[in-house]
Amino acid sequence: MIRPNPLVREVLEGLSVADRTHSIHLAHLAVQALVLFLWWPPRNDLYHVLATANPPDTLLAVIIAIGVTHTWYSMRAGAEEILLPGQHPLGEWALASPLPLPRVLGGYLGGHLLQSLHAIFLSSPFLLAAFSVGGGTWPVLAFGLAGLVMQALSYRLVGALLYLTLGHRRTLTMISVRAVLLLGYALPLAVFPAASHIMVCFHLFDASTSPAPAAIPDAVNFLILHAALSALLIVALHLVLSRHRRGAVAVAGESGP
Amino acid sequence: MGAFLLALATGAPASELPGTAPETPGSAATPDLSSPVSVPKMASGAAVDIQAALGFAGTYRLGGWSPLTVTLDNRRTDLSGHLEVRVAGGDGPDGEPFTNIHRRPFELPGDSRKRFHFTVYMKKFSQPIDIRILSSESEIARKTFDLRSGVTNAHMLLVLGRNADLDYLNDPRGRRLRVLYPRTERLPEHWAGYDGVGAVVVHGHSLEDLSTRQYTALTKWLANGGVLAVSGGPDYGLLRTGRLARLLPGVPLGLERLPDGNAVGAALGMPLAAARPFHVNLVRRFEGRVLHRAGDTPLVIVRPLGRGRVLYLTFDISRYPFDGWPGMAPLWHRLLDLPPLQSLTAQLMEAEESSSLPDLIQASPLSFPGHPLLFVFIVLYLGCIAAAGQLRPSARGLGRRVARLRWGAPLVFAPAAFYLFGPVLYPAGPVAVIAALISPHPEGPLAELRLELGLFSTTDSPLRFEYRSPEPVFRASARGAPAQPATDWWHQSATSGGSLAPATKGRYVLHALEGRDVIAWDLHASLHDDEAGLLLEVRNRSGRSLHDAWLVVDGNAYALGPLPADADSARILDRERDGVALRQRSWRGLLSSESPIPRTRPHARAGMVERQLARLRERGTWSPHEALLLGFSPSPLRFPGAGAEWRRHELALVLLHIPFERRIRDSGRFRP
Repeated sequence: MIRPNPLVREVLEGLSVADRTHSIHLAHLAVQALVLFLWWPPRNDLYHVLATANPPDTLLAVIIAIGVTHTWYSMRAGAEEILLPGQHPLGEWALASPLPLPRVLGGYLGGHLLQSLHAIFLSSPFLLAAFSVGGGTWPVLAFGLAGLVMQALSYRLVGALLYLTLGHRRTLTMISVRAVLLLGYALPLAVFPAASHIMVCFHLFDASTSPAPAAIPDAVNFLILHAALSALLIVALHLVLSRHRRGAVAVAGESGP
Repeated sequence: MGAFLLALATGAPASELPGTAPETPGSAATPDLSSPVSVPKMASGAAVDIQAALGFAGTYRLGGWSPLTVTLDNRRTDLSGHLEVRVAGGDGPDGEPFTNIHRRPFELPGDSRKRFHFTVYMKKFSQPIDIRILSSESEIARKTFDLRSGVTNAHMLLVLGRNADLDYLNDPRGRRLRVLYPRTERLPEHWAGYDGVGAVVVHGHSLEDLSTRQYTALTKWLANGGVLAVSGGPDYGLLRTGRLARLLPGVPLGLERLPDGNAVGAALGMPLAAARPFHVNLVRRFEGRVLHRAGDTPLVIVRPLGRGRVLYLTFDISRYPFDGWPGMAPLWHRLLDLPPLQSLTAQLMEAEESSSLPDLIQASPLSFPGHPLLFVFIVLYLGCIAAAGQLRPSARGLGRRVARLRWGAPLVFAPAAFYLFGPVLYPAGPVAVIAALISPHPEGPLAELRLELGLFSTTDSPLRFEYRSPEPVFRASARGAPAQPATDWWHQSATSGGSLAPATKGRYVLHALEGRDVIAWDLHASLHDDEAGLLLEVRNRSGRSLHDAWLVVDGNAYALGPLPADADSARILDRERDGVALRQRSWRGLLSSESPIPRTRPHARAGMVERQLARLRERGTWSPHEALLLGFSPSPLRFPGAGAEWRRHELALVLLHIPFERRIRDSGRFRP
């Protein structure tokens, strides 16, 4: 019998209980709803859309909005500004539980994936409404969402790393988290579009007016890029957590009998 | 004659050319496109020779439709596949060129030859025509044909016959008239292929060797304004053959001997020196008008045929004493009465005419779901999520139920969003918008059909629009779709009907096309001044009802209501009581708000009427001695297969010119 990872179980239980995180989700949904409303095409705009060959950007705008809100959520969750009810910080799991670190990190990633799916699930009515008028294709939508999940994972790991290294300076951690998020969005837009979820989505939805989703290779590159970045961050997290655990063992040894 | 033309229009013959049709020698050299640049490419061991002939005797006109005959000569084993003809279609809005790709399936037994007729729109001569043979989608032969020679802007005069020599009609620089001697088997199979042809002259030749489709094309062209001139002669038996006899004003009964040329010369406007007697055809009964006669002997008889006419010259144009007579050239020019050549500027102005597609698209029920509905949806959803967050579970059981509500809201709202904003309010998929203008010929039973076709899809699904009947020629048009990309077009022909498909797919890209055809549409009306008012008689044999019909005369419009199919009606219209001054009312206010055609709103119909009336006034084709009868009908295009799956928004405006002679009111009495 497969035993569920306790970190994953914790996330599952936390998601089913309403608390402050529910308000955060509600606020993010409100932002997405506002974007959906603003980018919704006017009722009698069909000929204008056709005459300019400019399809409604509703789905693109909603995906970008979900990407921004969920990345923001993940970064803060990584920095442990947001914890689900009953959820323990990553550091505690590493230091206070006998679980091997790979299992802790595996559960951490699984928990993040669950939270991402939950966020997309909550946004699904907006996504599908936008999809209906935007006329996108399922592969394009799937790649847009996959990119969103992978990007959120990278930022979550960055947030976790920042917390583990700077967590004792709360203000600095908070500022760093926001700065990294801003730079992480702004810099790729300016200098390295292949690493920008916004640009990849733009290309994906532009490409959907051509014979095949020609930008899907860009999306795949984006996924690979973030997967590689996440892998490096996981290694870094492992090293940091190992050092913390060794330090904790040493302190426990010194203060022992 | 009406029944005859109607039979031609509705017969819809589906004849492919015989597999081994013989090449009939022409009366003169007929240059074709087997030009030196042709480089046949053979593969897979197949040996197929490709020959092609564009236009008439190698001459074609830019900015018009031309016949293209492709002959495949298979010297080896049985072969099947597709024949593909690629013709430069023009440039898109960004200057990107696009190609029209005509495709036709074929089966070719070993050691056989088969001929295929295409009607292609010639826009450019800088790019060659590319012909490919595909079997199982792999290319087995290919040939390209240079187009740089053979282009003309002059009227083309086609001579079908063995011995006639009308080269004296060529003006020195060939700018106004080009006399050509095409081979009959290369004549067009679609009437539009006669674009640029001023007249067809038949001499010593019957039309029996034309295929049914070629003959139908010729007849439709005639009915739509073409001119057919038939020369008499001693072999008048040819003129008694079925097809020619049906077209001619009368059939010759024999020969009549004329002693000299004095009377003939006097009748035809120039002395004719004939020292010895000669013969003309003897015609006693005819349907038409004698233009020239020598005594009791008709020399030239004309018969109107729809908008066109048939000229019967009862003498032999290439025999004594007419063979060297200087009076022949001026006589031809008088008889043919060719219209002035259309300048390039005029052609461009025509291309820039406004389109009915915007109005029709805007009036279609396909519109995005409104913001108010979206707002209600968002509020409801966020309200549910917020309510779930406010519930504080006090017991374990309630906690589970609250959790269920939080998960249940998206489960309910997501499919609701998908169906509400999708299939219910905004069904996705391909859409065809069809605006048709049907102009019945004054004498019936045919009508000119002009189509504007707008194709788009709200999804990325590929577009393939099938139609069955009629079979218009279509070409991409920038009218109504200014952002139309320069996409290649597939024109696939089947035995009956065809299909159109842009090579690229994309959501919300409007592809606009223009089509032309001549269709059966028997609508006849007459208008007379009567003491009680205007007496209008309408005979609608078109098989379709006309909705919201109006009579327009002297700046007034008269509502006629529906004109049922296959019914005759007569009514008296009082000028004061029934007439509405068009200066004071717009068509939008006049047309019925009750949609006679499913899913069209009045302003789309009003826009179409105003546009057409303005066009008639600008072109001067609406004579003050004419009234107009207009009404609405669904488009005459019919759709099998994939075409039927499209959502269509269609509207046809029927516009009939009615001759009208006013009588001047004098002291309460009418006088002619």
